[in-house]
Amino acid sequence: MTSLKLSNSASVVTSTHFLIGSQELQEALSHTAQQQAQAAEQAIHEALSELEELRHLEVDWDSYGGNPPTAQALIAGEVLLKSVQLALGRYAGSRLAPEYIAPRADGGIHIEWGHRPLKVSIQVTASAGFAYLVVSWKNGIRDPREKSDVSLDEVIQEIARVVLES
Amino acid sequence: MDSTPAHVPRDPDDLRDEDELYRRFLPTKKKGRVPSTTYTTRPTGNPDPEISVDLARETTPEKTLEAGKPTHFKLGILRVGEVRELGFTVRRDPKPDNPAHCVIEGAKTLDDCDRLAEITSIYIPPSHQS
Repeated sequence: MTSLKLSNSASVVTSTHFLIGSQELQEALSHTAQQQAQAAEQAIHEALSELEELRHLEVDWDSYGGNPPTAQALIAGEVLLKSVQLALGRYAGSRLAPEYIAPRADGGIHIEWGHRPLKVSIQVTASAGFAYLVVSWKNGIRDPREKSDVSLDEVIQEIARVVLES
Repeated sequence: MDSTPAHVPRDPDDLRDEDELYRRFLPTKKKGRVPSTTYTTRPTGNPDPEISVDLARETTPEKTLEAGKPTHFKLGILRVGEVRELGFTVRRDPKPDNPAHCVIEGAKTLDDCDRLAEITSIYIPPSHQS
């Protein structure tokens, strides 16, 4: 019995410690999530500014006859960036900053995240459709996977794989 | 510079693996990367089946850059041998105003454009080299 009582006491003490620890942990996690969210907000803010600059491109911006980004593509790009921030901001923080944003010759937009060993290129078409190319170099071999006519949700899942694994 | 007159058809085999090709591109804002969109075409945004390039030994970086209207372009450099290693072909396509013009054929997927972007280096003018 004595040993059981001791055991119970130890259990209570341990539980109390665990509770205190858990509360501290929760606070710490909450603080970290807040910091991550702020970093993500900054990263997406900069990306949105970069996107906004593409609005000023003119016909033949690439000297090979390229069309300037369409209004639909720019809006879809903005929706994508804001959705990514909302869905992944508190987990990914500054890793949400795209590697680059570039115009496409059809009036669409290209946004890329990550680098070796894993990256994803998101294509926003001139008519606001989505496609992606994921390239993995795991095991030293280049392994591309691409898909067109995909939903915004699917695109965000692919981005999540890249920014949360990096 | 090659002394062969313009408009004279040449054997495609005269393009050597060590030859370099120039392609203008709009650099990305943040990291000055060569975007894979450099190798897509309008109106579809699909890979360009005939990517316009200039044969370096028959032109100059300045001439290729001058053909682009805006002045903020950069020049990408591709090596013929590396382009061929990826499975693409390079052939001459001389134009009256640009005898150095060639085309890269065979790009069909987003990944093709991405691989071409990966092997593209950025020309640094001598005045900017340290």
